[in-house]
Amino acid sequence: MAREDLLAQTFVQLADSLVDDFDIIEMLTVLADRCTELVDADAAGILLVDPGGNLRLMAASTEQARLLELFQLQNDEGPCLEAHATGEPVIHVDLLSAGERWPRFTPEALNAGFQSVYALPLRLRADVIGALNLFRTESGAIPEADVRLAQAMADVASIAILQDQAIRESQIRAGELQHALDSRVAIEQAKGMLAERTRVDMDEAFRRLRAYARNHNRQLTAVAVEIVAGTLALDDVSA
Amino acid sequence: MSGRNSGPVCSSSHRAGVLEDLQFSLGEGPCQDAFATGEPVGEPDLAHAVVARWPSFTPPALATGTRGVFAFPLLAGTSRIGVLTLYQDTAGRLSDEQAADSLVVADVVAQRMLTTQSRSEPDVLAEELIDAGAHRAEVHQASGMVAVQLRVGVAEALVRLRAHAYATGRPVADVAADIVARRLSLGDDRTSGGPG
Repeated sequence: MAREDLLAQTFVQLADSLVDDFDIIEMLTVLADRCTELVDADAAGILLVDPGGNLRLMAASTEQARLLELFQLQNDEGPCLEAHATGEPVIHVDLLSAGERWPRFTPEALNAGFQSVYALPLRLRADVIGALNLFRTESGAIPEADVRLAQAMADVASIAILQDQAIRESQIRAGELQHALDSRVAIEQAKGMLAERTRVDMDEAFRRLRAYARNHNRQLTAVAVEIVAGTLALDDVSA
Repeated sequence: MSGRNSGPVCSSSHRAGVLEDLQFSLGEGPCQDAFATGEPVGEPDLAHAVVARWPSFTPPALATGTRGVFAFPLLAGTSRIGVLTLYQDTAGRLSDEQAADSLVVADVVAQRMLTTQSRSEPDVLAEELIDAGAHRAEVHQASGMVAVQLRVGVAEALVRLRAHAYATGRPVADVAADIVARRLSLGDDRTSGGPG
């Protein structure tokens, strides 16, 4: 397939993930693979920040890349971590001279056959959520246009990830809102039932509800729900 | 809110409140449709609707002077948490700009609701989201009382309450207030709405 076609297809695929059922691993695996096809890179790895704030390996195009990414995480050192920390691309075109900068990562990378690295941050405005890392078996720079291309793909992936997180969070919050509303409704209904049954006013009914919940070490909402459902008898509560 | 527990929360004017209450009583209207489908629902001219979607809602709505109605669901991801409904005195569609603005407002309101609730304790509805005047609480209290009066479940009790409100041409909230104040009991007679 011609490069332009593959590029177009890649962007479509990344953008599709914004609207379709979203599988984050799938998308990042596609991203890693496509980078090696479209750009002069031999391997790619992607790290993402987890909810606890720690970087985790999400995808790698080769086993060697996978091990190298894990190595950086385990030793807390390397271009990928720097790219995430700074939010800026970290590029080293000749790892033979990187020994001082990354004393542990460098020999490991060279051992794996890599001679240059491009670490690009995954970011959206002020959020840096991880890094896309390209490894090459040759030293020397790749065309500037390729670097911009890889960064563009990384940016689209970042949008998809953040969008997905925002949607998930919205839905969780919507569930919480629904639950709070249902709780309140159940409590008011239970008050009404108790008030009618025992011929007291709402305040007294509420007092008895709370007393029952307290004496039986139960949550008010749970007691109300059972009263409404009929599984807890009104007479038991007013006793 | 879920269809089971939905109801008017706030209105910009008395008439809007009446129209919201009407739909709540009837269980029919643009609000309900927007909530059920998760899509905006609009009728630019209730007096000349191409398809008569709301046979019970339309005549009383027209009687209030309302001609156009546009309902926008409040969305959180794929969940619906409410509806923003706009009423207008004249017939006519919303302009593209008005429609776009409405979608933005709906989004802002939805996010605001979620944020407000997220600051409250898990089981407790945030203060700001409890509607002014405590109408909603009274309706549910009244449902509980009617459930005992008629020996039915609360869902059925609410249906009977709404039916009584519609039959007597009164807002649900007023009927509920009478029941809670014991000026009215639905258990005493089941054919029409007379005080016990």
